[in-house]
Amino acid sequence: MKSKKILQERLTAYSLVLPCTIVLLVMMIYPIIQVLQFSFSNVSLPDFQTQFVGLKNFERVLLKPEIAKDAANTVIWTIASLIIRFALGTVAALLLDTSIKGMKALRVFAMLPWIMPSIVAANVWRWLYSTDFGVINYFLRFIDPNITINWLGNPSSALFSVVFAFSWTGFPFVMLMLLAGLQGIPVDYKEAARIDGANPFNVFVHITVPCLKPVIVTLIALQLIDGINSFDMLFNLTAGGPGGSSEIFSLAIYRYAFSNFDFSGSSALSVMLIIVIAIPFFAYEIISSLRQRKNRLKEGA
Amino acid sequence: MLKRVVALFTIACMAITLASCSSSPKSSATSSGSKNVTVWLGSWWKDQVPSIEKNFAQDNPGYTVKIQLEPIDNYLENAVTAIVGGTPPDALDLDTLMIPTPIGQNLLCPLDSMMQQYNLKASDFVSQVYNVGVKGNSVYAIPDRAAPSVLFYNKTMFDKAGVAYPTDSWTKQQLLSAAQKLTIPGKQYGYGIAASNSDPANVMTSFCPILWSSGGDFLNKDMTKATLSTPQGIAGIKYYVDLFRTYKVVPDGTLNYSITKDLLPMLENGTLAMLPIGDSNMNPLIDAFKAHGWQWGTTLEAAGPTREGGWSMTIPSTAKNVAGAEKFIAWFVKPNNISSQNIVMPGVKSAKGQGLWKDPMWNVFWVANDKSQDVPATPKWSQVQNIVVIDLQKALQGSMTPEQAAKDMDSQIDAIL
Repeated sequence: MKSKKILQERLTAYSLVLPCTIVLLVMMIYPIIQVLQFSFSNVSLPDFQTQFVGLKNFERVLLKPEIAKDAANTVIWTIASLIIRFALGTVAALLLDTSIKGMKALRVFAMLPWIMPSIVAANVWRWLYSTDFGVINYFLRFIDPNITINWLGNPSSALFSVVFAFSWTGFPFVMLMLLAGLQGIPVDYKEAARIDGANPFNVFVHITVPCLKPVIVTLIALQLIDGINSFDMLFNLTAGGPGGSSEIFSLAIYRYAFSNFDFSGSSALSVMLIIVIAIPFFAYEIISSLRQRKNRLKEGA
Repeated sequence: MLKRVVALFTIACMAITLASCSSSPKSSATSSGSKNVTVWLGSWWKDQVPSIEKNFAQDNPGYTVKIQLEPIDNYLENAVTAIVGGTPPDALDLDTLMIPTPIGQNLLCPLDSMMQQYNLKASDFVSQVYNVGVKGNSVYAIPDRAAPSVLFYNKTMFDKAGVAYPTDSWTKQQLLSAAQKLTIPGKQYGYGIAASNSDPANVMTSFCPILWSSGGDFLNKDMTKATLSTPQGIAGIKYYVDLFRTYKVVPDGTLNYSITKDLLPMLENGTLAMLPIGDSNMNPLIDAFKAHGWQWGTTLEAAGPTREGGWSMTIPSTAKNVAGAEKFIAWFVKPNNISSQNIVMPGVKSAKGQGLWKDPMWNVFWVANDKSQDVPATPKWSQVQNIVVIDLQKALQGSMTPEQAAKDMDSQIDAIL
């Protein structure tokens, strides 16, 4: 009798979860499986008929001359945007955490770059960076006509110019999360530290940062994924140019698929990227669970 | 632990089942018998949509056409996604540069039987645009627009600099010499070339006439080998690069500039004296020049054949209503229908004497049509174009000499042909 009731409850529970599971499978797992299938196959259009070719697509993609440069650019892009977003987000969060008048209005204003559609933000930065009629060079010309910079047309400045624009659009999210974390720190902790003689820097390093650690870890994970997956800002500002100097993997994947109609190569690169992204997260999961187990053992002892 | 493994296994089985269900080939083009036709046109057709929809319905009782406008950014990518996803329009308008690759990938239907059924002849259309849509003995695209480039120049700037106006018989040397006299570094430039990765078609508009007028070309006649590293090809690349690096007669930001986003605004605000432009740029430019009180002129591009741009109507291989699409295309390219719009220059020869297209202002474009050339209609064109643009940028930024760029282009192109 009791087991029948349990079974009924479980059936009800599963039937409630089923629609969501199906949507999840269709929207998330099926595309991943198809990318996997394409990466090991020759794909012919328009029917996406596949013929298994083993690891040939991976070999072909890895032998492309631009792949090393794209890999370096992807790392620079991801790390640099993470650092700039954190720097801007932390400064903004600390500023907005003060009780100065007008901070509430400023909080809304600071969210603008994040709220703005990416295509609008890209066009704004395109105008700002324009070599001949951009605002930045307009001011530089006032100082000295010879110090203007070809922001998006010079291989040494193109990637970093777009990194900054990309970081500008994303820093409000970091700010918002850190601000929420800051406001969740009990005031008593900081007061106690101050009574014990800690200066503001010590309070920040020994109280604020440790309390924000869970938020920071989550933010790093989210920002890394966002950085690696980003596409629209780079595509609109340089499209990987000049001469491939600002191409990252997401642009290369798009180019292989939609310019070259090479869906196999595009899928092979996507699979490699998924693996590269997954490794640090699995490593983090394993390390943190080992640490938790160690702590539990210590507490038990 | 066992529960987790079982759950994961179940999910994987369900996902594989789903994948195999949808991996089966999608249906190819069909005729549903529907009288509703869907069409994709570029967003610049916006003002003409109501009249096209109304006139088609009037001329074809019982039929309706629904036009969807698509922005030029990612136009081909969106079209390909729709075709392979099984949700394409019935009729799809494509740029000449976009046509060869989808033909090679079997994404477009042959239109030979339609040509016969509606009595359309190859000789009715601007040949350079028509030929791009021909592969083997079949035609896959029917021209509705011809878009050769002509040289638009600011007469007021020429007068101020005391330079003679360009003529149809100008050489490249004369173009360079005038551009040098018209350039004031940091303030105004004599000529404009596009080199941005984000709009490769614009780069081709700038680069092709220079390459061809130097006697060079992208591929040999049977399109089996790249020919950019011939002395003529290198000379074309060198001239293009020298405009930027040696003579500095084109804007400083050229490496990331496209014609539409950057150079046209410079022409409109008087910081650029000469620019090859297409038909659709004429009216906005004339309005801007009138507002400034400036004089303008047009002539054929210096020295060589211009690149023949254009758009043609196609039917995607997964279209649902082929018969309806054929009916619309045949109606759309009729000389009196295609010439009744004022958006783009018709790709139908006999439209020359009809509507606003008989205005003498357009004569230079009709002449340019006869002296134009198009890029090789190879199915690998998208890749060829990408390779050329990236290496041109490398030569422009100085990380490769024109000779090195030409050799690299050839070796990369030969590898994919």
